[in-house]
Amino acid sequence: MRSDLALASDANLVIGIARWNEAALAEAYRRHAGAVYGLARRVLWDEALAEEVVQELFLRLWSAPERYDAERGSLRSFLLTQAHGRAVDMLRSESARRRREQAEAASTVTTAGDVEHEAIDLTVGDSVRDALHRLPERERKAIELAYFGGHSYREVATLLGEPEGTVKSRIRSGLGRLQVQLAPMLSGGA
Amino acid sequence: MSGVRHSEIESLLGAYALDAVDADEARAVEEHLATCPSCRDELDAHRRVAAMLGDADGRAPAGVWDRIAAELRLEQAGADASSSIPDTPLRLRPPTADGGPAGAPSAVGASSRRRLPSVAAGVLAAGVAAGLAIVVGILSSRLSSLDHQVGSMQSALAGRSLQSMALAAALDPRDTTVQLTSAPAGERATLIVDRDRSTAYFVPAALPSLPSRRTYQLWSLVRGKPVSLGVLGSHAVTSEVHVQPDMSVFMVTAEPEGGTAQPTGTVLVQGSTSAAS
Ligand SMILES: [Zn+2]
Repeated sequence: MRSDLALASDANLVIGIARWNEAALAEAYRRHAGAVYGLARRVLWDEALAEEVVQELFLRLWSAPERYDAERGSLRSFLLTQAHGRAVDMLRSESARRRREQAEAASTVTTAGDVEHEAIDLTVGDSVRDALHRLPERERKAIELAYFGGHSYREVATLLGEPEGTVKSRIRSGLGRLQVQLAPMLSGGA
Repeated sequence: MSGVRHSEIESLLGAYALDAVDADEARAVEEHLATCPSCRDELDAHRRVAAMLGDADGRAPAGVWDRIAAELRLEQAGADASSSIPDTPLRLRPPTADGGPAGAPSAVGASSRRRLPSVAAGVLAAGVAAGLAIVVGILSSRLSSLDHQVGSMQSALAGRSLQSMALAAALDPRDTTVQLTSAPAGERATLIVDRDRSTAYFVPAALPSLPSRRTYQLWSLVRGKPVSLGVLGSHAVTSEVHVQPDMSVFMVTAEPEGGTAQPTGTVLVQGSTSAAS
């Protein structure tokens, strides 16, 4: 059984989960919980809250696996999307934001965007890092502040001293550019 | 998709994919996504890119899995405890999803060790008004093979008049009424969301019967993704459905008998809590 599961595709694991197979959930956890935790922690700067995100997400996968639609992307992409959404929800609650700001202040980098930039440089793979560095500086900053900083595009606009509409379209065009550059890697995941 | 709306929403898709829009904008995007495949495709692409930015290998801290496993056992114990079919209407709660009470996964009731997942309700209420039989079978389509089991559950359960409950809810100002409409064809239905934000009553007003191998299916959009709230049958009747507090956009499609995991038909009627009131 175990060895079967270890070889199963993610899609088959989700089918197993839909049939209330706990071992299938455990295998999905083994594959993806670390990434979910890592992303939640980078957005929240708080280990306990990040653990909460992991727990919530896998319980939700257990109770509502039909929310995952294989046609719209890989399971990992789905889980990371959920993790980011949940982490940002938590961050929008005042106390979590305050805690994060304190953690940031205690670190050495202080200019808007630097924290996010460091975080991403440390953790993403080479090809993703290269693609980010090839973006126009302002697009890269807007995306990093929004995604890793958990800031709304309006907040990003304030932080960067740019019009909201400009930031909104920079994020969109930057993501489009990344999609083109990362196409070889993305095609496998979708 | 009207042109203005589309381009307005389109411009938000990047920020939306990064969870960087405010709640009103998120709702507007979700409502539009329901009807616009091209925006859905663009969003999917943005999300895949975003997930790559956020993807890094690492380990989850020890102990988290143990907590998850403990929750599963708790849930299983609850399911076993309620495994006999009571005389009173059984409200089978769907498992917790977004916005559900944290740490309280599914007070699921089910009839076997292999629990019927997401069978939200199976209630038969008969003889409200003269000759009016209201049959409700709500099945979130998790496994389409559950159809016959749901059918037997319907006949096993007899209960209160759903219509009177729906009426009571409609009269309560603390509840939210959502009008589900379609401009061209004139189909109509109403969704009354109970003040507890977890129960809603689907009341069809003008929904023609479908061919026998088709069914109406009710959906909500959660973070841009349609989530099934249940299968309504080929002749939709007043039905009780379970919703989550964060659900605001609702729609009905026609699907193959038994329902589908994701909508395949066009949206027949739709509405949102923000548009109501
Ligand atoms: Zn559109």
